This record gives sequence, structure tokens and C-alpha cells, in this order.
Amino acid sequence: MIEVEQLRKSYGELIAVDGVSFTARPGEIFGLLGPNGAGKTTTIGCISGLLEPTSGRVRVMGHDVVREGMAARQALGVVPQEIALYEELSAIENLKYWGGAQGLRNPVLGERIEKVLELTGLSDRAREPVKRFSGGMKRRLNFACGIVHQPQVLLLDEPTVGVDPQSRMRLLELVRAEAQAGTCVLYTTHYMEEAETLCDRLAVVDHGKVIAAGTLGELRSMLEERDLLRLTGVFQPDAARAAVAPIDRIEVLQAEEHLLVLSLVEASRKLPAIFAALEAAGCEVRGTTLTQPSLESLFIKLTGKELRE
Amino acid sequence: MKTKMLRDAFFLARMDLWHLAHSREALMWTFVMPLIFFYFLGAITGNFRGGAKDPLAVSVAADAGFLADQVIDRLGARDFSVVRTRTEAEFLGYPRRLEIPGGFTAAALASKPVTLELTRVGDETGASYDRVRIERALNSVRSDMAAGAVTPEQLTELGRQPRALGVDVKAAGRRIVPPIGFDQSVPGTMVMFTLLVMFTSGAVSLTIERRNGILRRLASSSMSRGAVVVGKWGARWAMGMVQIAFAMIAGSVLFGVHWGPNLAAVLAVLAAYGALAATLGMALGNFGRTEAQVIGLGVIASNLLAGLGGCWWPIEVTPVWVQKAALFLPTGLTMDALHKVVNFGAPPSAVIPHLCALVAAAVVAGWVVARGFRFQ
Amino acid sequence: MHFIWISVVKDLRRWRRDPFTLAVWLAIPLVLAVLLNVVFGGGGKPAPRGVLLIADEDNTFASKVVSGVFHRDPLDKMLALERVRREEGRRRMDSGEASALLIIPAGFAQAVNRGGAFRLQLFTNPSQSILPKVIEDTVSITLDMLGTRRGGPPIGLKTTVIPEKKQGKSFAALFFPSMLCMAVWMIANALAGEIWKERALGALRRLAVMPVRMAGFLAGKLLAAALVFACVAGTGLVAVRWLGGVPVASLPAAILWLMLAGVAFYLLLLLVSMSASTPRGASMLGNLVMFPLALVGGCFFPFEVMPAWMAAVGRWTPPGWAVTQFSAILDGSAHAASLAAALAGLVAASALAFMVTLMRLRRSFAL
Repeated sequence: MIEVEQLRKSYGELIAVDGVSFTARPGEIFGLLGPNGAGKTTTIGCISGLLEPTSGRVRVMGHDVVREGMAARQALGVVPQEIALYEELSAIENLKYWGGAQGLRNPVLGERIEKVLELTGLSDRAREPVKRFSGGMKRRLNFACGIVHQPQVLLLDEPTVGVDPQSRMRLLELVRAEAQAGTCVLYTTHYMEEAETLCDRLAVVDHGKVIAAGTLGELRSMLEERDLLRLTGVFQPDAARAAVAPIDRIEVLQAEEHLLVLSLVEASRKLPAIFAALEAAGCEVRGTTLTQPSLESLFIKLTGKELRE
Repeated sequence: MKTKMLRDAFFLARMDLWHLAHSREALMWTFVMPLIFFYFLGAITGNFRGGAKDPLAVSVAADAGFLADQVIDRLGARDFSVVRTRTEAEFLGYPRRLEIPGGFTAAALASKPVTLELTRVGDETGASYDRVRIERALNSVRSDMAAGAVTPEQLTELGRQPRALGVDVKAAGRRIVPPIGFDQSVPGTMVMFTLLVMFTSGAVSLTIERRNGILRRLASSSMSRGAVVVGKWGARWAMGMVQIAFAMIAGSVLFGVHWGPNLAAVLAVLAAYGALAATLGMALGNFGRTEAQVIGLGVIASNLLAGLGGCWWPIEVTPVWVQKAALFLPTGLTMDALHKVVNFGAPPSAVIPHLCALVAAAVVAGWVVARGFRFQ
Repeated sequence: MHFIWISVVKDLRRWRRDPFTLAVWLAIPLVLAVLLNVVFGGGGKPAPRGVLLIADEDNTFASKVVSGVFHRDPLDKMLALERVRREEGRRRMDSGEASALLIIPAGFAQAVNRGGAFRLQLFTNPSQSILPKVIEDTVSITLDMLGTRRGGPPIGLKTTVIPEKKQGKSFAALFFPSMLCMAVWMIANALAGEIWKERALGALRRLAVMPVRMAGFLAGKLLAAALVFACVAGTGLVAVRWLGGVPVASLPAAILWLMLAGVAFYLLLLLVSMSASTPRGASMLGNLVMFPLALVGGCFFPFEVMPAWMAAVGRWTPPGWAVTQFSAILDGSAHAASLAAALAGLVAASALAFMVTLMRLRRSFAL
């Protein structure tokens, strides 16, 4: 697991990270979101041991990254944003080097190399120089080099940048698989849909501080973002209005003979009650469309800016 | 149509020149490194100049007599720089040494045989040269004594008088002294570095532009492809001219190099050479596949052409076959032309063949490049 | 240790697959060596002969005595004689085809017999200095013998020739140490610049978050570089020894010296490269340091052909110091004590450079 307590990193008068705290647990995918300059990269740098914190503590699998740096790094796997591969070498040669640097030896190294090549779908091209790989293949190999030693903690810094959709899907599956195997995963990304679909918990960082953290549902409810429920069928508008009125924090935006549009919080939880009330009022629901507030809108609401500014 | 093409080409040349001129590496190889090479190669080859007089250590025995002084005076007239050594260690430190024994004058006056000893550290040929010159000096003493001179004053007086039988010596033909020192290193380095910059910065920038898609973009613009090729060439030629101008000015101001009485001929040759160098650089950038390949081939080719073309040392000191082969190289042709008009006093017409060859080569190479220019 | 080993393997593999980078810098000294040897290295060829044109318009015994002198040793080895007419001789002299033209006008023998005054004419080639003077002196001596001032005391001249040992190095032996040191110096610069590629890749940053020591990474690079230098040195020495006949007093010592010198160069140039802030800046800085030091340090031309002051300065530069010791090892004039001291100095300097480079790598360059 990753434990970050009151992490602070300053460069002279500039405070890049200001009291960030969060915990990422084994088997969990923890997302770190924030606009450029939010302190995301600095936070990642402190966790991976690249940067020394000004104050606060960071522990990886219980090892302080400053005082027990070597032990912490042994538990850590990093998939950096840049494709840190030797292009003149083949995939196998890269894995041998990075796996060896992580302390693996033969025959374990050989077995792990075979395994990760298979996992990432690169077995057929394993002996070719990396410079001949496509962007997606390079990203997969980059990922393979990060997990070859079966780390307990995995840091991924925007691992799918510039990757084709197929390769991206594959990478996301691999990340999920790692988490399911018990690895603690810290994931940063600019892609909202990735964060929404992948991350179990999220922290939103801005100006060096965590301004919100929790599951997506928790973040939505925290911000009192309302879902939009659009029902088609046969309705009596007045009866429909009266039927749903008792439901907590619901607002009827539109009520017509064939369309009912409702705005409410946690609609997915309240759907059965809504259907029961409408049925009791003699309405027939034929179609349902539920639109939940997006992470993007949440983000904008929290930070006041788009993620890609 | 042609006006537009030329306008486009000029625009592109201006832009490219600005871009090239802002490359720090190009600036370093255009302005900084040449000065270092000017100085170094000039100092080395200037060291080959040699003294007008060859040092000759002379050991004179205490009782050698006045004839030893006569011999020494006449050796000085034979272009020896005579050093009368005092100790044996000093004497032995010279590669060329003459020992005048004791009783030399007495033996000579008594017509008794006496032998001087010449020791030469070196080879037989060098020893033979020295021997002839020393024999001349000794023979003049012998013949003056044969004419009756027996005192120092008589010998000195007779020595000054012309012989009845003598030889009048005149120089014939033109003095062709291969330039050495800065007179060689400045033009040679200038010619070499012009080619080197064309072959590296000039060529590799083309490769990079192709890789980045810039050439493809230009090809699909309203500029004709001919304008693009001419514009690219123009920038490189202009860069070469800047380099040449700098070298000529720096050479004159800092190293005292004179460019001869026919500056127009010199500039014409160098302009033609610059044109050919720019074209060859474009050829390398066009047909080379990767930056590493282009730089590698460029560095090797420019060094080879410089060495064989007489940029590092005067071609006149090399074997005849090398001098002839150099005339088939752009560097050799240019250096030969420069030597003719700058160092050997030839008229401008003497370099017309060189000009024609350089221009023709530039045109042919340019045609090949234009025909096969790769935009992607 | 394992990490050092895999780093060595990694670098050797990478360099093997990118031959151009090394080939370029190896090619410069090779091209230079081949050119110098082709242009100047004509060992064993006969010394060039001058041409003496003789226009004998007198055609008498006396004139033949004058011209006959040039058929005798050693002048016959120095000069090729050709009989010409005056006009042809003048034309050929004007075009610089001969060393001198000796015109013996008609009436020479008569002047000799009557003891009167007479002048021969000698036209010399102004581009030559030695042979025309030899011809002039020889003619003057002969005329003295024919003239009224013949005879005189028997003053003889004995000549002893001592072949040059020290300076009698063959051309290849003189230039080879410089060329090989230049190759190592330039390859060291190219390899040093490679660190920027690894930085740009992100490999250094990746390593920084791994349970490995940067010292191991740097040591791996040094060992790989040392192997490259050993290969270059070994190949060059074997080639020149067997093909060029250059004496090599101790092959192992020469390889060892050059390998260690290469490592020291590599560390020095790595430090220079890493003090720049961009890859292009590093390349420029590397070249700005490398070329002048190579020039002054006896890598292009040996110290023997430099002005004395330049050679004195050059011997104190890193390449100059390496060349001096290397030459001494090759010709067997290196003493064990001085060599040991030089080796110790080299190791000490390398160790210092290693520590400083490591500090820079750890503190900022890798991050």
C-alpha cells in the first residue's frame, strides 16, 4: 500500500505539494487527477523516490521512501509516462535489463519475461528491436518492464498517452488484472473515461492540495450532483408528478404524455421506488435513460478549470 | 511563372538561412573551430619553413691557426650557420659537426696533408649535400693559397676577388614556393570547413526536415517543387559564402594572409566551390536515410576530400600522382586555383578551367539532386 | 555486481547496433592515417633526383671535364643529366622542369688554356634551394681546378655518417601513436555524449526509482567503454605491428595504457557533457573541448613536428600526456617506475572524475 501523510514539497518559495494525504490499498486502483501544475507529478516523484519531500511522510509497503529508500523501491514498479526503453535492444533484452535491475535472476527472470510478454501480447515480436514497434506496442512493453518483477505497488503515470484504442483497452485490462492480483495501483491520467471506468477511488489535486477524494459515487454525492432520468412511455402528467413528489430530492423537469424527465440525486438507487410510484399512478414506463454527472463536470466544478488546460 | 518561382525560392532561401544561422552547432563550425584550425595548422606547417641557414657546429683546436677562421668565414658564405662550440658535449649535440684539428694552419702552410672531419647524423644524401658545400669552402681556401695568399689579410683580399673562371648564377622561371604556415592553413581550412558544414549541418537539416514532414508540407504548398529545391540550395550556398567571407576577413586581419592581386578571381573560384559544396551537401542530405548516416558519411567524406585535396598541407609537397589526382576533387581543384592566383602569381585566366570544372560539376550534381529530390 | 554486468551487456549491445556513432569517430583517425601514409609515408623509395640541363656549346675536353664531374658519385645519385640546346633549356627552366641549366658557351677551353677570364652561366630553379646550390658549388670547385688557382695545400675532408636512431622512426611509427590516441579520444567523446540519449529516453529516471545504485550504472558504462577502447587499441596495434612493421615493445602494456587512458578521457568528457543543459549544448561543448585538446595534445600531428612551445603545452593536456606515455611504451623507452607512477596518476584522476560525475548524475542529471 501507499501511505502519504501531509506530504509537502517546496522549491524555494514555490510550494508544489502542500499537505497531500491519501492512502492507496492493495488490490485497489487509486486515481490521481489534477490539471497541469497541480502537483500531481511532484507527488508521484516523491512516492517513487525521485524527489525528496520537504516534509511529511511517504511509505510504500510500510517502508519510508526516504529512510528506507532501497526497500521501498524493491516493492515498487513504475510505468513512466515517457517510453523509457532502449530502442536498439529487443523486447526481451529490455526486459532482461530492467528485470535484472529490479533484482531478478534466472530462471525466475526468464519465466517472468515469458509471462509478461504473453500478457502484453508481444511474444511474437520479442526478438525485434523496439524501434520497429508501433506506439501501442512500445507502451505495452513499457508496462511489461514495470511489472516484470511482480511489484506490490505499481505507479502508472499516464501510461496510455498516444496509444491506439485497442492497445489502450489491453493496457487497462492489464492494470485491472494487476489490481485483482492484489497489487496496489496508483494511476494518473488525463482521460476522464479511464478514471471513471478504472479507478476504485480518486483524489483530485489542485494547487498542491487534495481537494476531494473518494469513490466516484462519493464525489458525486459530495458535490450534490444530480442525475438526469429520462423516462418514455405512457403517462398522465399530473398523476406522474404527484406520484414521484414524495421521493427525496427529486425534481420534475418535464412531464408530458410520453415523456417524463426527472432530476434527482443517486437516481440508480431510487429507480425501483420511481417505477413503483409511477405504476401505482397508472403510468407505463417503456424506456429509461439515466445520465449521471460526468467526472469532467465534477472536475470543472471542483477546480474551476478543464483538466487539459 | 518563373518570377514566382524565383520569388518563392528566394523566400525559402532567406528563411532557411535564418534557421541555419541560428543553429549553434553550425555557428561553432562556421566561426569558432576554423579559427582554432587556422592557428594550429598554420603553426605546424609554418614550423616546416626551416631556417635560411643550416646550423653547423665547428670545433676548432686551440692551435688550429688563422686558416680555421678563413674556413669558417667561407662556410658562412655557403649558407651555414656556424656555431663554434666550446665543449665536447655542446659539439656532440649538433647533428652536423666539423672538426678542425690542431696544427691545421701550420700543416696547410707547409703543404702537408691535413684532414678535417665532418660528422653528419642523418642519411647519406644529407651528408653528400653538406660535403659538397664544405668542399667548396675548403677549395676556395686551397685555391687562394695556391695563388700565393699566406696571411689572413691576403686570403681575405683574394677571397673577395672574382675568379678568372667563374659562373654567373641567375634564377630562371617563376618562383613556385608552396605556401606554408597561415598562407596554407587559412585557405585550406576555409575550403575544408565549408565542405564540412555543408556535409553536416547543411545535409542533416534536410534529413530532419524530411523526417518531420516539413518537406512534404512544402511540396503540397503553392510553391513549385523547383522553387523548394532552389531555395534550399540557395540557403546553403549563402551559408557557405558567409563562412568563406569570414575566413577571408579573419585570415587577413588575424593571420596576415594576403589574397593576391586578383581578388575577383579568388572570389569567383570560391563562389563556384561554394555552389558545388552546397549541391553535394544537398545530395548527401537527400540520399542519406538517417541523421547518423548523413553525419557519419559527411564527416568521413569531408576529411578525405580535405586530405587528398591539399587542404591540410600544400599539395605541391606530395607525390606527383597525388597532385594529379587532387585535380579531380572539388577541394583539390579549388586549392590549386587558389595557389595559382594567390601564391604563384598566375593571371586570372589561369583559373578559368578550374571555374568551368567547378561550375559544371555543380550543375550536373544539382541536376541529379533536383531530379531525385525526396520530399518524403 | 550483477547490475554492473547487465549494464555492460546492455551498452555493448546498444553500441554494436548503432555502428555509425563509433564508426564516424574511428574513421577520422583512420582516414588521416591512410592519407598521411599514402601521401608522405614513402619509406624505402629512392630519394628524388633533380634534373641538370647542360647546354655545352663549347664541346671540348675542358667543357667535358665540367659536365663529367656530375657523373661521379655522389652527384650521379642526386642529379639526372640531360644535354639540351640553350633555347630548349631556357624554356624548360622557365616552366620549372629542372633544378638548373648550365650553359658552357663556346670559347671556354680557349679561356682555360690561355688562363683568361671566362664566365659560365647557371640558371637555377628558384623553387629549389639545395640542388641548385650543390650544382653551383660543384661547378665552382671544378672551375677552380681548371683555373690559374689550381693546386694548393692538400686539405682533405673525411665524412662520417651516423644513421639517426631516435629520429629514425619510420613514418608510421612517428604518426601511429597520435592516430590511435586520437581514435580513443574521439570515441570517448562520442560515448560520453550517449548519456544524453539515455536521459532523453527516461532510462535514467527509471533507474533512479529502482533498487540499484547509480554508481553501478556508471561503473557498467565505464567497463563497457573500457572494452571498446581495448578492442580499438588491440586491433590498431596488431594491424600496425604486422602490416606496418611498427615496433611494439609491449603489446599488453600498450593496450592496458590506452584502455585506461580511454576510460579517463571518457570520464572527463562525460563530466563536460553533463555540465551542459541540453543535448545540443553538450555536443557543442564536447567538440569545443575535444578538438582543440586533440590538436594541441599531439593527436593530429606528433609533438616532433610542432613548434617547441606548443609541444611543451600539449604534453600537459590529457591526450598529450597519454600520447607521450603511449609512445614511450611502444618504443620501449618507458621505465617501470615512471610507468607505474603514470598509471597511478591515471587511476587517481579517473577515480576523482568518477566521484564528481556520480554526484552530478545522482543530484540532478538523472532526474
